[in-house]
Amino acid sequence: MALHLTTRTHWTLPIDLSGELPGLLAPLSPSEVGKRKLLVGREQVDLGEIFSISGSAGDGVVVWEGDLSTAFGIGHLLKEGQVTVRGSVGSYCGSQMKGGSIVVEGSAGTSVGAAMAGGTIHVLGSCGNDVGHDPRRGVGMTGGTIVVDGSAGTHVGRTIRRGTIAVRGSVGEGAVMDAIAGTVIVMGKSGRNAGSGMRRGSLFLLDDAPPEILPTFQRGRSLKPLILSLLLPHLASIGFKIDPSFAHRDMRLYHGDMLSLGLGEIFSVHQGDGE
Amino acid sequence: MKLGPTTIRESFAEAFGMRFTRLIVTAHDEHWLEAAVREATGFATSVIACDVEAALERWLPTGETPDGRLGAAILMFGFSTASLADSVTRRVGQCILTCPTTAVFDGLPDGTERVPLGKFLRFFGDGFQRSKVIGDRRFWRVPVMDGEFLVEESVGVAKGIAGGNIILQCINSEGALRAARSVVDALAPMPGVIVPFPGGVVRSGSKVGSKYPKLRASTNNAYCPTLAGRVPTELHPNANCAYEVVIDGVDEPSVAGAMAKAARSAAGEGVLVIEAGNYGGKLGKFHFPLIDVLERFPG
Repeated sequence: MALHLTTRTHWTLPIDLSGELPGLLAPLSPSEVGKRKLLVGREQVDLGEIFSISGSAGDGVVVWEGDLSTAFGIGHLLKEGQVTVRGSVGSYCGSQMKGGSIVVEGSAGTSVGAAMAGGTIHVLGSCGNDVGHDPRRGVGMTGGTIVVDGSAGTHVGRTIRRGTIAVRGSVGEGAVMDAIAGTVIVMGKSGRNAGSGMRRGSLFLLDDAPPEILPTFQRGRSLKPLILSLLLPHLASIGFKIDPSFAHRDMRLYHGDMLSLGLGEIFSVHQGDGE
Repeated sequence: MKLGPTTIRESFAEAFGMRFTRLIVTAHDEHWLEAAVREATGFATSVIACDVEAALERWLPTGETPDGRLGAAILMFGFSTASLADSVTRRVGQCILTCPTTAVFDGLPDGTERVPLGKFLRFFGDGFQRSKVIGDRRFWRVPVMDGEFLVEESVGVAKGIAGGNIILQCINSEGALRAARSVVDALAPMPGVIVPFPGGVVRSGSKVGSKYPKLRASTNNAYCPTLAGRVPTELHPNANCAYEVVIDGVDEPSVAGAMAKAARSAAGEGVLVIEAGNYGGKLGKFHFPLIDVLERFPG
């Protein structure tokens, strides 16, 4: 049976949940879990004062319930086990995680999966800015997969080195900005300056609308990116299904950013005006 | 022992421990898939003189391939992991990379060892190659003239067995060809085995050594009908044609099961004797007594 932690009341102060991992909570009884200290605002508070506790994390599963939109760091440094959030979460959910899985049934704040190295994060709602990116350290993802059923803010996949991000809705400006490598898939509209400064990596724009491509990208030819046929089943395996026919559609390729290394690529299902 | 009118001679196949890998090849359509498979498994009948023994294991429908296209599973057997690594890279590089629309994936992810594939072939991209890590597998995208060649970074290698066989002794060549083809057809859907010789059949069964010191193998004169009467023969008095079907498999049960199925599918009118070939039993680690495998794998 999973460990269930349900908020007792609505909190406006930030709550630091970065230390509450399934592996740490697994050997503890509910009363021991309740005595763990949390940083709430500037004060340390017993976890049991904020959350009602039931079950056990012995099976590696922790379920957070209630309004956690001020809670940050859920799943920080997660290596194994499963974290489910029945509600919305604050910032840095799954930051620096190395394995395991996180499912957020609501929306998430900024920097979901910041600098994560492994594991999967599935956000059923929308996300704030800097998905996969840690602006405090200026570091992006080095592995793992983040999928977002809703939309995402600015700078999705900024400085990503490895790993995959997929967003079903639209994203703000600066997607894959300064990417070192990695893969980002956007099914909705993408904001301006996508790929700005990217060195390597791939951005797939699966919306039929004409993309805003920076002039520092060079227009390439049309091709069927076969790699998508491997990516899509991988995403489907974590609950993010994309029409498999995308893998067999011709896409327009853009190379860039030529102000950087220039080995990055943007694939767009919109073919452009031709040459 | 009898299978219908056919005598099953008490004999055993002598087989050898080898290393093998399984490649999953996909392509845009059947035409290019067959072309790639044909090239990649060419000149790969016997390690007596070829670098590997290789053949099609089975065709794969779209639902069984990593990229959702038509595919084929190829098995390649070599003496060692090192020799297999060299051969696989060369064969994929020259025969599949060159073939329009193809891609190559690891068909043995649980193999005990791994050998590089895309890790080396990527250099053909001359710096324009790209890699993608999906899950825990790395793939390379090498730019080519029709788009990209997609290839997995490495492929798994495991221990297998090469040299299972049966020999058919028949009244005439027409009946022998018919029986041999029925064997190959029966083995085609079996997973885990290949018949690497032309059309799956050998007419030049060999013995170890030769009167010529430099030859490692020479014709098995005891089974040559044209030599019967001149040299000691193993042929049935009424046999005028013999064929051998050599079977390589991923493990002992696969080879044994295939030998049993092969013998059953060959037995019938015109097939006088079915037996298994060996080199005296001192060379190969694996022995497959034909009657024993028929009893272990009843039809």
